[in-house]
Amino acid sequence: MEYELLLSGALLCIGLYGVLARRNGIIVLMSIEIILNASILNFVAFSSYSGNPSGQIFALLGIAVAAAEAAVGLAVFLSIYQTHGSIELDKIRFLKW
Amino acid sequence: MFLPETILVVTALASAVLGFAWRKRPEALWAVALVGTGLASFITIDMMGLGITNALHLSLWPSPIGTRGNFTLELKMNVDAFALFFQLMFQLVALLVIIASRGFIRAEEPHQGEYYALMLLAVVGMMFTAAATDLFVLFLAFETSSLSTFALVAYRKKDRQATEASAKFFIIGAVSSGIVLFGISLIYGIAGTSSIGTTTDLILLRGPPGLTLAGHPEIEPPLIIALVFLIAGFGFKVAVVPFHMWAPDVYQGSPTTISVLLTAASKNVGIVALFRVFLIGLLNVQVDWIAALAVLGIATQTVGNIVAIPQRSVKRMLAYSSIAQAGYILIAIPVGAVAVQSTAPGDRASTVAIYGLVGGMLHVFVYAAMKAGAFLVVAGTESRGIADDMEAYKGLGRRMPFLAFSMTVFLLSLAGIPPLGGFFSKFVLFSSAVNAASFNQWFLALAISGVLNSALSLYYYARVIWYMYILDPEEGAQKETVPRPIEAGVFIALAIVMLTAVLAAFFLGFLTDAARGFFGF
Repeated sequence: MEYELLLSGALLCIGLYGVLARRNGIIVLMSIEIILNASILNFVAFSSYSGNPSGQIFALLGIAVAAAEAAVGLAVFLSIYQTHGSIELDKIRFLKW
Repeated sequence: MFLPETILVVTALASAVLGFAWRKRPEALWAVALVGTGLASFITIDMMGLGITNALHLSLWPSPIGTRGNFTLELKMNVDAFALFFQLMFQLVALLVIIASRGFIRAEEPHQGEYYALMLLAVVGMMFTAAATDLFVLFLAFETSSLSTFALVAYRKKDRQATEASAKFFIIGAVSSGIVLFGISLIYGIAGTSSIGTTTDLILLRGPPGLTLAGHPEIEPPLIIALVFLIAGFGFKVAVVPFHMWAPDVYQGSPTTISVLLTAASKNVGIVALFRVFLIGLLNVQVDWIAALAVLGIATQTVGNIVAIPQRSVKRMLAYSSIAQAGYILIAIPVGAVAVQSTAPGDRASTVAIYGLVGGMLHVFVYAAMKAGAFLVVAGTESRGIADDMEAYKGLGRRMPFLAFSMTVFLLSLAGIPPLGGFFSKFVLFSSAVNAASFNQWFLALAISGVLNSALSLYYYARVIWYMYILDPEEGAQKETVPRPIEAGVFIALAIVMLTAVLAAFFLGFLTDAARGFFGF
């Protein structure tokens, strides 16, 4: 139980670090997926620990949400690439951040 | 009981498919979306027991309030009066946006079928969020609305500003939903240590016995982490102050009709989620999130209003003012919680809690009308090539008299000037904070901060009015006609804001019942 929680905490931190520090759009997208996977791991761990299967259903639905998010994210970054010619996020500074 | 949602989903799918067939006839797509949304909101009003058929004793759609709409066990949803009120609000905003889109989106722009489809699906997600009684169901509905809005912001995909706004909105929104999901997973596990078992059901979490620290002091650290994650995640959506940086960029960059949807509907999804999660699910958790939300509310009001002052772009100014308005709405959550928690649910405590929640709901409704109206005015001026810059609004009172007049009404109402809607909702909200001060005197600070901030906000609202009416227009600028559909949208919002006093008299009994049912008194 502790090991799963430590792993999911580590995944969350890695994901947040990736979103904040990396500038490439695709890597940011991957980091977001890592954050979602941290919570999915949590659901499965708690569910198997307590014997209540609902957490595993939540995990499956969470994976579906992550997939939908990846699809929308890739589409957004594709249109960014078409208009700006780059997906390096620090080069995109038209609006004041 | 899910008839309005069904109609909206069918309309959305029809609009997406017909978008291919009717590429040359965007007005037909617009009509389909308009009829679908209009029908759905008509049925919602009827379900609330306020419609025409009810007045004629036809009762075609039996009211789901009470047991009929209570799907807490099977679907983890409860279509109660509280949910219906928010669903109506979301549908009215969608109706305004759809009406105005006819004048704002040019006929030759591609992908109009998808535009209406995504908008209606976003609204369906919002409506399910309002009805959810389980943290995970709430998350799924919340995601449905978020994902559609990410795509909508980038609707004009050749526009550099819009795609950039969409990328920012996507990153912030996706991270915030990841954080919310992590908080939910922690709550799910923490509940397993108490007698209620692993669950994310809000009603079970509330108890009794519910999720409390009593007897389990060891769960306090993870519980605090979970609460911080939930507040942060929903706070991003509402643009509460430390998490507000994205809002002005996104509102400025996206097509203005979509800004209306984001500020008037999408932000209120976060608020309804906060209401459901904190005032039902986590009400009895003995961790002091009440003070945290109260401080966040005050910070949100103050920072939003102060940063709005130097803005030159009208859209950015409105964005910061909508951050401040969200701060006012947040007052309702600590007020409701402290009243219910502090004493045994006696008469006085329940009255104050109900009063606070009614204030919050009323302000959400009036806020949606004011903000939608103000952004639609910006859409109207943009559609005639006037930049959204304060300088360009010089002499607007003579160039577009109706829009300038409506803008004046919306801005004065946002500041809370008496005969207009914003005054009544703010009055209920702030006086509920004064009443809550009898439980904890620090709550007086919420009311004082609200009143001072309203006074402060008048400064930058009045400046826009000064530009529109006192300053002369530029040389060669002439009177412009505004597209009819945008004028119609502005007119509806204007009617709601000016007639709030009448509407509130009509609604107040319903709102009080809704708040009572929400708290379960």
